[in-house]
Amino acid sequence: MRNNMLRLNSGLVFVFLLVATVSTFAEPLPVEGNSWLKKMVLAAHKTDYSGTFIYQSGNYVETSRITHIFDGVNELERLEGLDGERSEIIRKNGQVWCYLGDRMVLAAKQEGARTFPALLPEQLSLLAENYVTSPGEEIRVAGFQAHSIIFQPRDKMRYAHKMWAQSDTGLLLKAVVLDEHSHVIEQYVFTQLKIGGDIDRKWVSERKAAGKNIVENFDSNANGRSRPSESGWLVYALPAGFKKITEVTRRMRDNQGLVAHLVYSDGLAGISVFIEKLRDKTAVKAGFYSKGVIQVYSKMLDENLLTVVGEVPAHTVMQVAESVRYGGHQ
Amino acid sequence: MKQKISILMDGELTAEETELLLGKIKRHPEARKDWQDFHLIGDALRQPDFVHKDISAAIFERLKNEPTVLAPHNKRNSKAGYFAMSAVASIMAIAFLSWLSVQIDTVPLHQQVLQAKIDTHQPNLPVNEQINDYLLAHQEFSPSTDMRGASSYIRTVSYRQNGAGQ
Repeated sequence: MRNNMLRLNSGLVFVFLLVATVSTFAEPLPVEGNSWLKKMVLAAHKTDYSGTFIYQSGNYVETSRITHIFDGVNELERLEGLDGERSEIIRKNGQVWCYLGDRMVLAAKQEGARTFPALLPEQLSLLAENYVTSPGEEIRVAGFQAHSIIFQPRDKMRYAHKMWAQSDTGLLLKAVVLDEHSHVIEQYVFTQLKIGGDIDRKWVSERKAAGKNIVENFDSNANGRSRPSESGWLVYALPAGFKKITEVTRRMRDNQGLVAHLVYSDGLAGISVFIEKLRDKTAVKAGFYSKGVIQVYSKMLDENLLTVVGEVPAHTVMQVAESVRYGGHQ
Repeated sequence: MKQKISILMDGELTAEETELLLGKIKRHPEARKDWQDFHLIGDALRQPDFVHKDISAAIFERLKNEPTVLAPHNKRNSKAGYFAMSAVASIMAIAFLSWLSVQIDTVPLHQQVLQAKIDTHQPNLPVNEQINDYLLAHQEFSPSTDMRGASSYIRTVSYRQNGAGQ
């Protein structure tokens, strides 16, 4: 099995090299695509907007409202589900709160939060290595003129993406993820959107979101907090085109132990590897979970629980999960 | 051996054990038959529209016993000819189906295992209690969050709405 995997890998590497070589000659550098991407990332962080969008994956459809404000220093954002039970996410730079039952819980807090990650040059070169970027049609989305970009993967380790950005600001209006048979896996599209102008800041205030009867639970000091670290865990057969972006140690809600979190990216899709010492093995169900473009795979690795999360096909997640080993010294 | 195969299909064997057992299945036709039978039972229990069954052996047996008729065609007996044609068509169809099932069987075993593992997921299967935490933590660093901000958290929000993992 392992041999087959290696053979498959070297085969993929060969095909990848071939494609890379051919494409180097075949097309000019996708400068235009890159500049659109930069524009989109910048717009996502710096634009004030408020609108309603539809998210669909398989038979599942959901409507949500989003408000985003950038005051020149801080980014404030609120995502609110409009269907079914109340669901809410509040984000302030690197801090994320989510509404759970009757209280807001701090879900993530990055120390020395990257308030403005933007698109790094190496990320752009990764993207060019793994995807063929080409401009698509110009079309109207949610009442705005939009410019579309297609990201076609160079191998089967990742999905194809198509994005529609507003022509003036570059704000993402619609995004579709497609599998290798060009079937839509998930899509996201604004149905109503207000860009810039007078957006009520109350929409994104934490207190307002939390409501009156809410116990504030922000001070649970260690919750969700992460810091850079080196755990010694390695992914030996990392799928071609992915690079390690960062590694942090974090505490998660309902879990007292530390969790090592390794992050990989191919420029467009991310893979997270979580490893934690397990206290109660009976509470754990190893297995596979899939939601739209996201695949989650959990399994036991000696005394540890390994969980791989990624916006990539199931076999890519499996390849990562099967090749995680401890390579450090303690 | 049967028990081991059953455990393998539940996805509870370690990687080393899996490799060992798959080797055995490849070498022993009996084990291979058990493997196929278990899958058939599993398929039948899940009550799908179609149940995969390897019928090629039975068809080849029947074909062997079929007499080969070399007599010239009798124009008067056009009805019999019609039936003969439809019989041939049916046999062709069955042969094609069995060929299809043979094709399916030739998928390498390790791929079948991977497939079996992947197919076990259900929309609401909780990997464990903390799946939403993992999704939240993942979004924090995911490039998609850079592109569309908090709306990429929709995958975690909608997950909770399904009530899974609670």
